[in-house]
Amino acid sequence: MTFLHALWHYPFLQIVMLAGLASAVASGVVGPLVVSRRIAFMAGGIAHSVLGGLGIAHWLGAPPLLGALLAAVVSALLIAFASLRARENEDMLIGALWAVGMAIGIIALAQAPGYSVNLMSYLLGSLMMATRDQVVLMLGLNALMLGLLWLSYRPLMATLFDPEFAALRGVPTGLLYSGFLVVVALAVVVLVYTVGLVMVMALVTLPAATARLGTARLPAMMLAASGAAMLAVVLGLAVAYAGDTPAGATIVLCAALLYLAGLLIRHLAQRQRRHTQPKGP
Amino acid sequence: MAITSPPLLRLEKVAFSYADGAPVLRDVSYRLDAPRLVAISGPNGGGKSTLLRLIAGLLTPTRGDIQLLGGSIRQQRHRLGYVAQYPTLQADAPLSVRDIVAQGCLGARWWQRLDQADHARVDEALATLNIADLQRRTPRALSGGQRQRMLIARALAARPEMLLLDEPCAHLDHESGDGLLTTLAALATRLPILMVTHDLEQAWPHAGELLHVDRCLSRRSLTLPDIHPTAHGEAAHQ
Repeated sequence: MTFLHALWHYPFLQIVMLAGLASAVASGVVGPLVVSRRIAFMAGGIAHSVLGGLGIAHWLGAPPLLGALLAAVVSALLIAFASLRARENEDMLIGALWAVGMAIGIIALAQAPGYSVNLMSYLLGSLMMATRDQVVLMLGLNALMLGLLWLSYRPLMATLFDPEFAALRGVPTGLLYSGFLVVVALAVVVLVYTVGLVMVMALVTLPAATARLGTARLPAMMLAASGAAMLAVVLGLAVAYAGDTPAGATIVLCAALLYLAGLLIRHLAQRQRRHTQPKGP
Repeated sequence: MAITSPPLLRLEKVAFSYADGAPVLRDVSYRLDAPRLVAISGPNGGGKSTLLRLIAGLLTPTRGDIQLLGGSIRQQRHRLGYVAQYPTLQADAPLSVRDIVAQGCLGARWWQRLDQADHARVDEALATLNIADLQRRTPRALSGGQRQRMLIARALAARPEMLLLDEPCAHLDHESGDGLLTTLAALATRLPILMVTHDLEQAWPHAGELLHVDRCLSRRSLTLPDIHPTAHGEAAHQ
């Protein structure tokens, strides 16, 4: 049975596809901001701290998603505080959140039953086990992210790319920057369920980097990055289905191949332009 | 009975030292009564940029008083436009020139979306700085001179009542610098502009007044009544 047939016949695969596409939107909207603002390391810190929240939630018998969300948002706010008030300690704090979050998560999951299964599914993603409830939640988080960005777009862009000017114009830059990192945290939680926290950074950066090859303006970059991420999800799921490979890792490889293809197309287009340009006297 | 309006800018025995105590400026007094392009020159470390940052309210005088547009700096700083020597705008920001100029419309209503009046202000600022044709480009695709014009247009979009520019021609070739100074001189007939420059030779044909800052402030003897007959600033400290 081909992938398209299976997609048509099996409701679970439709849920998986919807979850993947919801992740693609999160990646496409937040990725260009993270890449343009050069805060991929911050996003990585938030992603890895999520394991601490997941582990504690498991240990306490609470919903894992609640733990993930809490850990991501607390990490985002701590990083925002360090970035705004103690810039010299920012890298140190992100590194600490990264490692301590992982350590807490591993220890907490070790105390809970089913340690190895849970740990691997969080590290490498569990897209093929996505449920209808998870998809609804992912869509809800996406809607919240898009709403926050839409409401604050103009002052947020000034805050991200010229904070001194924004502050001079009376924009509360600290509040907006903290809010932006919370949005990044929400995106990270959505992506952890798809590709796992080890590979979150790939889906945050690769589709955005692919989009940047074709456009330098943010709205177009967000659309193109969402498109690239959706294509990576569809191709990745098809290849994973046909080859029986882990879905999250296959999606990440497809995103990387799309980026390489984008680089090649740009190189060929530039060469073509050079050849067709009239030569000077 | 004649009504005397307050000066646009008045500095009264202003002094400034950084935390280590080394004096940067001392006993600076100055009064500006009418719009003109004021060029501020002086040696490196003489306090030119510090003087501009004091007027912008980014630094606080250790002694003395600054009155701006009839009020204190704290009350009036939102009526100023300021463009720093080293712009803090990220050089490869993924925004169009129009988006960036529109940031000037952020203010007391920063959370609101742009209305028609805001768009008109942006159009006017782009036209004044002759960059309307560049509005769809990103900063990465601009030359140094075009980028400087974009930042000044952003300051203008805020409808300032005084413009402070720190070395606006620093990274421009002579021709681009001259073009920008011509634009600023035209603008200064209705908007007071204080401009720090290290290149007095380039600035003097355009300036309505020349000030020299080397810890103290003095009015340059090199004024140009033939070119700028209305220049009449006074400097108290010699």
